[in-house]
Amino acid sequence: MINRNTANDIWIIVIKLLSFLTIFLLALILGYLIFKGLYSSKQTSRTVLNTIESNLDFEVYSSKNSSIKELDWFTLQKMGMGEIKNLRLLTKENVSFELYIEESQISKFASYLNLSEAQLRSHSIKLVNPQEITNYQKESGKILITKKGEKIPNLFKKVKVSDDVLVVNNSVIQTFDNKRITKLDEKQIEKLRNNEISNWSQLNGPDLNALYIPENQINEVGSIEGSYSFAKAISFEKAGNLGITNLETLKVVHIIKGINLTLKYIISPAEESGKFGGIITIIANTIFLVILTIIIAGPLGIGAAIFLVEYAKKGKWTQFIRTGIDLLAGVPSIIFGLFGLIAFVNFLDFSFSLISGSLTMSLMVLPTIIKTSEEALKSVDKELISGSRALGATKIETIWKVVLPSSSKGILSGIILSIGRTVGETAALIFTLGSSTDLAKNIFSSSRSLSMHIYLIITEGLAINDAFSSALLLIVLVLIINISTRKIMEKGQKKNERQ
Amino acid sequence: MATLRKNNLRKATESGSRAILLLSAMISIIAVFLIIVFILGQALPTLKQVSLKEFFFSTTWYPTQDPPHYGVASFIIASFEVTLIALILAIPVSLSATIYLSQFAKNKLAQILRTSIELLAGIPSIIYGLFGLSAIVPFVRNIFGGNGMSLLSAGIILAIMILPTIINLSEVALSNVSQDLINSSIAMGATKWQTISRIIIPAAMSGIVSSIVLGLGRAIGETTAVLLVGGNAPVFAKRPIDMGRTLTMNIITDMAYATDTHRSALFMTGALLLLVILILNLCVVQISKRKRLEK
Repeated sequence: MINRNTANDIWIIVIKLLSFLTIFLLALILGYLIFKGLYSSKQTSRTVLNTIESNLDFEVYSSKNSSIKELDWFTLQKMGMGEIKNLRLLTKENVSFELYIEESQISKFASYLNLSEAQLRSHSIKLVNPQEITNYQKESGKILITKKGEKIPNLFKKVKVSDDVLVVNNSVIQTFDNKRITKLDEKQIEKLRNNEISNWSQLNGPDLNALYIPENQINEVGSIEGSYSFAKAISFEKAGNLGITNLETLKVVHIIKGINLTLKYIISPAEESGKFGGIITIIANTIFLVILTIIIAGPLGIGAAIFLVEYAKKGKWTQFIRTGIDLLAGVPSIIFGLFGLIAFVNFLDFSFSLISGSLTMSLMVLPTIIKTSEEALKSVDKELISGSRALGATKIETIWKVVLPSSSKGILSGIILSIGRTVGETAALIFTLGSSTDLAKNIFSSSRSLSMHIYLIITEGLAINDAFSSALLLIVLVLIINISTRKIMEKGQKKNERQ
Repeated sequence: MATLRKNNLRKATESGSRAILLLSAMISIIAVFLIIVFILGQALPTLKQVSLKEFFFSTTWYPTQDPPHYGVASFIIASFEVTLIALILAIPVSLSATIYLSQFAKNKLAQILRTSIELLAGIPSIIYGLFGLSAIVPFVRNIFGGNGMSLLSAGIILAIMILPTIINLSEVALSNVSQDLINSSIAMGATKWQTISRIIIPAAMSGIVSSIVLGLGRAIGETTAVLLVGGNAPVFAKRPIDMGRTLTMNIITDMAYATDTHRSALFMTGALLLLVILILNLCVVQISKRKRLEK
């Protein structure tokens, strides 16, 4: 039998540990979301190798405010062939693309891309003199090719071009024993370069000897099983044009790191249901939703609280009303969503709109407002009320001029709490608010709130990074709301204590 | 004469505002009533096509096949399972936090704990869902195998979500335990743990139970967060690490395209959910009423 003091100590340690698990959980959730919201690290695979920067005999620039920092040879070739009209798929910026070339560089550029000069000219390239380029507009969708060492106006920045590929015999990437090399990461590429790989099975591939072939004999790779070569993309393509078969490039893991939540994302309007652009229109609609909800639920909730505190007598009726409030507080949000769908969207024919959404939300936040306002009204000094009545004021006059002003802090904190709930709600709004990303024109416009936007991004399988940046914004908003509620309540309490 | 008219006006304002205030107070109960009526109104046509027995006890949910099957038994079981996991995980943590707050707590750490609980309560469910999807799902996949999207993941997320509900309400119950009772227990030589386990918890039992029941109600009704981590497969989940679908997930997933009987079957699911939650809440109301009478 354990000593009861030891038992006491053990239990108290358990209690403390479990209590602090709560703090740890909050820190974990917040930390994780802040990290993911600020910092994006997206893993993709691409054909060109990451590490080596090529030495070109011309320079490649892009517009300064574009997010293009590097280009690969294959993209550049597509640009030269006029296959890229808009940068949307490349950088998510919805701007039309233009290729500017200095006249003297055309032949060099064409041969670099394995195109003929005529081929390049036949597409919508623009010939420019770099000195005059200050006259062009500042739009962000331009790539500029100039002579090396040319002085370029401030509107452009240098872009890194990668053009090395890992060429392998196609036996290397065939499925073998349910295993297949699909892509390699930096470390694996480094091992290959240092001749540390003698058999592809070391890279989880087929049991074939890895044989290095120098770039100038790249055609051999097509005929020797298990052979590989590090080559320029153009050599690979030329070999293909010569009719060498069995040549394949091995994809490499490419990690794009960067800032996730940018000011640009916050302040640009959403385009094509949030696939491109930013979220400012969604933020504005969220604010409209909150304002409408508070306009509807605020007076009703405060009125109900006044009735319960100042007028209601103890009895069956009051009990009935209170039970109603308790039950409404317990109804889950999905049920509110269903009710909003039948009552507001269908029955009252408001369709999916701001007004349907805010009526639904009003019912949801009503109990919160009633309960906090009730607490605030109860804490008003009774002598103050008797004093006012004794001076001849009617009950409603006393409420307007004495009770409400001295309980405004508590009521305000209830309103702010409801704002927090409205901003964070999803399930009740999916069937009532609609899903449009455009700025709402009136209260009958379909729209979506920020938290619905996060939900729709995830369920529609759009970029998860966008979900995290919206989530960071949402959580910052909600935290500010909660902390300010707390501050207001504390101030109110101190005031009451002083009295 | 003028004073009299003014007095009459004041009296009219008085009774008018009383009526308006009464009406605002009645909105909640009217809303509850309307919610029940509207949802039942949409749900009842289901019974023309499906027997209650099939609806509640069959696990085949093929709403779009011919002939369609509308059995929600697997969703009921999944909801139950998820809630059970959440309660098993949440009860020890939240009771510890409550005891810590009410018995040990006058220091800075308790202040931090209190703030953390408030902030946890304020985090929207979509954020919990996103966190669950990208952190808890891989965690469960690595530890327990399977896809990771599972009833277990949903239960874990729900456990975190209902912590503040249970803590806030049971703290009130614990702080209402008479200090004399605690003092006499200590005076008789009981250790702190003995006092907690044999005096405080039994005395606050009804409050703790009602806080747990409210937490349970919140867990059953939660939609967005469980939807993102639960896998949402409309089949019977044999193990907790399998994908499953709860009642709420079923409503939100199918509502987007459902018509006719399928649609009203979803409202039936909603009605079932509402019924369970209203009963749970009525229990809590009864418990607290009895408590008030005892005092």
